[in-house]
This record gives sequence, C-alpha cells and structure tokens, in this order.
Amino acid sequence: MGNKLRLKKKWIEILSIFFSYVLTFWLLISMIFILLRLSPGDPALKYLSPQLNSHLYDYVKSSYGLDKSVFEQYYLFIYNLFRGDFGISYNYRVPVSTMLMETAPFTISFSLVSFLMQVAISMWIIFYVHKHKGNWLEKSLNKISLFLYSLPTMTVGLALIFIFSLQLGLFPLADVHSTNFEELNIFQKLFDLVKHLTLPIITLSLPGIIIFYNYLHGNIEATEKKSFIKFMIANGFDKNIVFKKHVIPNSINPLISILGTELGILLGGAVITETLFGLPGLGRLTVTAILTRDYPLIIGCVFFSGVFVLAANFLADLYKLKHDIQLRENFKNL
Amino acid sequence: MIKKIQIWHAVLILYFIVLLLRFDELISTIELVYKIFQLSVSQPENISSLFSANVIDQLTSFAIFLMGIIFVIGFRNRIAWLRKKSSITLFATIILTFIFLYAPILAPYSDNLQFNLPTAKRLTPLSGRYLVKMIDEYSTRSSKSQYQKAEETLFRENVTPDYYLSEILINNQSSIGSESTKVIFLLGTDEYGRDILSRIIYATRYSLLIGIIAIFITGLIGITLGFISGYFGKYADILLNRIAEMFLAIPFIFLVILCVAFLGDSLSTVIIVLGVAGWMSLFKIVRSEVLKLKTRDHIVTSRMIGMTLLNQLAKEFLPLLLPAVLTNLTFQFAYIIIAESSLSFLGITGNYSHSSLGGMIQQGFLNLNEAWWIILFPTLIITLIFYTVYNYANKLRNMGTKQISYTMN
Repeated sequence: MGNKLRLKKKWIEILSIFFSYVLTFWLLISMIFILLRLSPGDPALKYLSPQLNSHLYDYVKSSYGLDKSVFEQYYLFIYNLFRGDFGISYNYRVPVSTMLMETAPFTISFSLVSFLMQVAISMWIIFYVHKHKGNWLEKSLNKISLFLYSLPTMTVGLALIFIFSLQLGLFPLADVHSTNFEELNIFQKLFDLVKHLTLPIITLSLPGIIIFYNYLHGNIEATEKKSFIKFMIANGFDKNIVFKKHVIPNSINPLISILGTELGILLGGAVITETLFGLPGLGRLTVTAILTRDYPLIIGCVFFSGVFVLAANFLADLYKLKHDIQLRENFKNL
Repeated sequence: MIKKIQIWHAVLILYFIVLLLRFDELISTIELVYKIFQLSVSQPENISSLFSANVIDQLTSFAIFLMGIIFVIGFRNRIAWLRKKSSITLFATIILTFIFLYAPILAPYSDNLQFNLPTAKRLTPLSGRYLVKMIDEYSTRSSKSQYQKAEETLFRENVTPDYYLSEILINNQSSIGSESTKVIFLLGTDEYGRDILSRIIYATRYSLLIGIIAIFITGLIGITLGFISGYFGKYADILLNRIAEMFLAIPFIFLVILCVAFLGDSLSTVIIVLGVAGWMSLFKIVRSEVLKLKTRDHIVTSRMIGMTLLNQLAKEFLPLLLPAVLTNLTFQFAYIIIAESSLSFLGITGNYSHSSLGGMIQQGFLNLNEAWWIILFPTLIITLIFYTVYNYANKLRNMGTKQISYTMN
C-alpha cells in the first residue's frame, strides 16, 4: 500500500516537472513571438529579401497571416513551430527545418564528443592526482587553473591555430574534412576527420575540463571526510576500491545538475569555435544567419538550441529525482 | 620585491611614467585649456561650439589626472587602502583603471587615425618612423584659428598633406618648412595603418564601460524582480521563476544574437541586451536570500512599523544582500566583457565607430599569417581583464562565505 502511494507521488513529481517545462517552453515561444512583433519595421519585410520583387509583399503578408489579428497570428506561429515549419530561409532558398536537420547533427555530436572528452580527461586527472597526492600536476593545476579558465574560447582557438596550423603545419586550418575526402578509404577518412577536429575539440573542451576538475576535486575532498568513507578505510577496505566505488559515485551526482548549464556553455562555445575553424554546424549557421539578416533562420536556430538545452535540463531533473535523495526531500518541502 | 611596494607607490610610479612619456600631450592640453579660456572671454556667445565630445573627454580625463595625483599624495596617510601591500592582481587593476580613466591622455593618436598606407601598413612592434609635420608656410597660409590648430594636434583623425609618416628623415627642414620627429609604434600598426596601442587603449576603455553599464542594468533588474518574487511569492514567484528558466534555456550568446537581430545592433541596444541577458542568476540568488530574510525579526518589525516597500528594500534587505549581489555582479562583469568581445569578434555588433577588442581580434584573424601582433595584444588584454575581474569575484565569494559563516555562529 505504502509502495503504491510512493509510486503515485513519484508520478505526480514527474508530471509537475514536465508541466513546468511545458510552461517554460510556451514562454520561450512567446518571447520569440513578442521579439518578432516588438522589432521595429514591418515583419513582412523581414521575410522578404530586398532583392525580390516588390509585388511579392502582399503575397508574403497574406501567406504569413500578417493581415489577421495578433492573436490569430500568435496561434499560427505556435501551430507552425509545432509542425516544424520555420519558414523558408531567403538566403539559402530552402526550408529552415532542412537547414537545421543538416547542421544540427554535426553540432550535437561535436558537443557530445567534447563533453565526453571533458569528463574523461578531468576524471583521468582526478585519478592521477588522487594516486600521487601533492605531485607536480596538482600543484601546478591549483596555481594555473584560474588562469586557464580565464582564457576566452577565441583566445585558445586562435593560439592553437597560430601555433599548430600556421607555424608548425601539423593540423589543417579549417573545414571538417579535406577536399579529396570521397576518394579516401575508411581508415584514411577516420584519420582525416580526427586531424581536422582535434584543434576544435581541444578549444571547446579546455574550459570545461577545468570546471569539472575544480568541481570534482572539491566534491571528492568533501566526500572523503565523511564518516562512512573513514569507516570503510578503517575497516581495511582497499583504498583504491573505496575511491572508485564509493567516493566517486557519491561526489559525481551534483555534476549532473549542472549538465544543462554546461550544455548551454558548450553550444555558446560552439558558436565561436565553429566560426573560427570553419565547421559546418549550428553555431556558424546562426552567425551567418544574423550577418545576412535571415530572420526565419535566426528564429529556427535559437528555438532549436533552446529546445535542446530544455530537453537536457529535463533529463537532468529526472535523473536527479531518481538519484539525489536530498533533492527529493527538498522537493517535498516546496 | 613586489610585495614591499604599497599601492600608492605603484600609483605614483605609474603617474610618473605617464608624465614622462606623455609630457607633450599634457602640455598641449594645457594650451587647449588656455585657448578655450581666451575664446570664452572674447566670444562668450560661441562657447557651446567649443566643447565637442573629444574636447570634453580630453579635459575631464586631464582634470581627473591632476586630481588623482593630488588625491594619492594628500590622502595616502588617511586611507588605509592606499597603504595596502600590492599584488599582481592589484597592479593589473591599477593599470586597467588608468586606461579607463586616462585613455585620451595615454593614447598617442586617435583610435581611427589612419596613417598613409604605403609607409604605415602592418608595422612590426617597436618599429620607428618619422612623423612629418609642416610648420610654417602651409599652416600660416591656411586660415585656421589657433584653437582649431590646438584641437587638431590633439585629436587628428585624418592624415593631411601637412601631417604624414615618412620612412626616411627629411633633412632639409628649412626649405620645406617641415618638422620631422621620430615616433616609435610600441605595438605596431594594423593593416589599415592605425596605431595598435591607441586602438587597444580606447577599446579597453569602451569594453570596460559597456561592462559597467550592463551590470548596472543587470543589478537593477535582478534585484527588483528577485525582491518581488521572494517578498510576495505565490503567482508572481511562479511566473517569474518560469521566465527565468526560459531565459536560462537559451544559451547566452544565442539570446544576445536573437535580441540584436530583432532590435538592431547599435551600441545602446547591445549594452541593454547584455545587461538584460544575465539577470537570471542574480534573480535566483536575491530571491532565495529574500525568502530566508523575510521571516527574520528585524524585518518583520520593519514591516509592522509601516515602512514602505522601497524603504524596506533599501534599508533592511539591501545591506544584507550586498555580499551575494556584489559577488554575482563581479562574475557577470567578467562574462559580459568576454561576451561583448566575442560578439564583436563574430562581427555581429562591430558596426560602431570606435575600436573594440573583439573587432581587432577579428581583423587580426584575417591577417594571422602576416601579422601576429595585431591579434596578440588584444587577446592578452582581454585575458588580463577577465583574469583580474574573476580573481576579485573569487575573493569576494570567499569573503562572503566567511561572513555568512560568522553570522551563522
């Protein structure tokens, strides 16, 4: 009986989180719509390139429903967004949804690889530092971590390009693969991709590695002071096993809660990294869209990134609900 | 060694260096003041036309310069802060403050002064050239007033026939009537023949200014909404929280891009957008603090005796909120400076007439192979600003947590 009640409570919690996200999602759409209406000038002109025939104005106006009332327009706007119809990019002359489908997979996989790299490298450093306490790596990291973190993304990227691409010639300057990519066999293709993406991934990952390291380092030190760890070590458990099976899982949980923010930082960093290295991703598409005043494309890109981060936050919230007992207690109190 | 120097020593040394290096500029500023005084006595009806933006800028920074020297020398015994031991962070802060306050005095040229291209294009750092100024015949023939001449020597924006750069020393001074002085471009010139040092000084000042105004806006919005949400609760709280979540969902750069795209990319819009885009974290901090403070005795009392809402906020809440708010705003300041330079690097907001650090980096990126110095110094300055501000924010945070733990005990 009590079990059933708990299950019911859990579902209510999940549903309330879901509805709060739906509300946030609706606010996001509304903000884009309000910005679109607030912006000076005729909205129809924004969808109309100056190079096009002026007779198209009325056609565009009626096709976007701009001759209708504001509320009808709002309804149409939401309806179209849900159908995945963001309009047609007048710079590329293709539907925005197709453009997004072409570029988003690259950015998502790019950020994911970068995220995995961040976690892997910071974990490796943590393990290394834990094994040899007080060694050079820990000392130097304590000193320069603030400096490394204060390097802006573009500084890191530019320094890497200057040193490794221009001076040493080890890595190519831009683009995701060579021009003769199609002629290569599978191993050469893989090598080519790795060669092209090494510098961008380092650029994107460096700040994250330091954030994760600092965060985990503090958490682990706090966890090691807790009594159950001391109890285990006092009872003669292997220190390494205690560290891997008890200290790490107990200190990694709060990391999940910053996942959504971290994804936002990654997407923001991807804008600069992709522009620097000339990669065909969502960030560079956004920058080109705004430089050419391609309004449907801008809306599409921002909407997509917003939904992406919201989804990540939602998943992180669900994970937290399942694992973080303390948070669940807090949730009950709210 | 560096730890033995107190702050006022460092400040005075910097003042001395500036006096030594920019003596000519200071002298001609005094000349300008004298001429403005003369003109305002002789033609009091035209006084408003004398004060252009450049002149006001120069005069205010000159006044602050003089007052700064007097302040440091006169108050070094009374203000404890000036006798503090200096550290590298403090030294960087002093340099940045100097650049911020005295940009027109420090910068050798105007930030948009373009020297004649064949001689001045992409000069390496520390390269010397001869600056030729025609003195007698041409300038006496032209019908410029003395005031205009004084103004021109200070704020030149164009290279004219009587003011240009030469690679060789022009020897026969008497016959042509020119005066050539050797000038050294400390940080080199960019591909349009503009002095990088001057551009960096002005750009640093602008980005600091943008950051300061933006965090002011952030603070205003964050504190007001956070107070409303925490104090009244209920529906306002739920709605504001959801709005904050919504803003947090869009990555900072995307949010700014969205706003800039729809509201235009003028300087004022960019400042407002940068200020508005960061209110969420401050809002959450203020809200949670106000929720905690609301039930405290002295605040309940202040409500009971009928203090107005604004009075309560200013006199009861704000002093207690201040450590958390200041820490957050300092962090935001660092992020806003990075965001501003990233935006102008991407070319999204770089259309204004002054120089910007991000715009310089973008320009250097296009010439990375030929001229490394165009890009090196702006990136160093950005890193320096971020490092300094971030250091302060960290210190403030540590101080804040200490203070909170004291009050808890």
